[in-house]
Amino acid sequence: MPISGLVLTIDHEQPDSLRQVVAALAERPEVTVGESFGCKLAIATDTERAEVDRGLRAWIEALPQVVHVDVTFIAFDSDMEVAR
Amino acid sequence: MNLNSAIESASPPRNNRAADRRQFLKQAALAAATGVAARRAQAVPLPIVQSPDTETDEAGVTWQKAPCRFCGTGCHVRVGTLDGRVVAIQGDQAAEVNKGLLCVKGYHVGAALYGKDRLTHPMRRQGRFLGAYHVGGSHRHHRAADHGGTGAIRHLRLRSVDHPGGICGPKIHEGWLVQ
Repeated sequence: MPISGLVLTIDHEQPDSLRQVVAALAERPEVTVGESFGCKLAIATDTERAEVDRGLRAWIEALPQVVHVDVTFIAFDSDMEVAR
Repeated sequence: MNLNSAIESASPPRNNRAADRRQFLKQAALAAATGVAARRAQAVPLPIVQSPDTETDEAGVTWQKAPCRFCGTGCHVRVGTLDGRVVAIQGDQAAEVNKGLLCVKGYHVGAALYGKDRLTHPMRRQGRFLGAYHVGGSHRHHRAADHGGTGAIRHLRLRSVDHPGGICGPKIHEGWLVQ
């Protein structure tokens, strides 16, 4: 049941890239979008299984406007309460 | 969206303020990511410039390139000398390995030359302490050969005791220090 904090580096050479990324992330309920600083965007992800977490990160990395994804926080607690 | 609103959106509803562990971790994850993003946004990439092998600046300091002597990383150092003495140390910005940076040891690589307790010649142990007995080169090789030529001694014989930084092992009967 991983929870991750990620920093996305957005391709600032593409016009309107930040808005497009935020719009794409908004369609994923597992993602909480945080604040952006220049070409950096902070997000948190909350998924049920590690495989889903990896898949979500791969999906984010595959977004055409995202050039890099840094993992800044991760929690894998197996006894974590599922508050859904 | 600012930080407060981002954290608020990751928080449980107001009618359930007893944040469970999952919500707490989610807020921590977002806070960590926000902190890194803010920091990274302010980061300035180090300029990579070409540094000539030797140059003299307006203060008369002559800068030359050298390797750092303190570990095996291989950082490139620029050494500033004035009147025959090292007066300044810089990391070489053109070096791929350290990109202009040095550790605290590297920044003192010049000052270490002038330490009052620095060994300036090979010394031979006399009893428990090192004596100030200056050992000549031929004598050094002769005594090293007497001890069987293994381990550090073999290194001493093969590599020459005049090699900067060479240290003869302390476990031998008669220790030799070479700097």
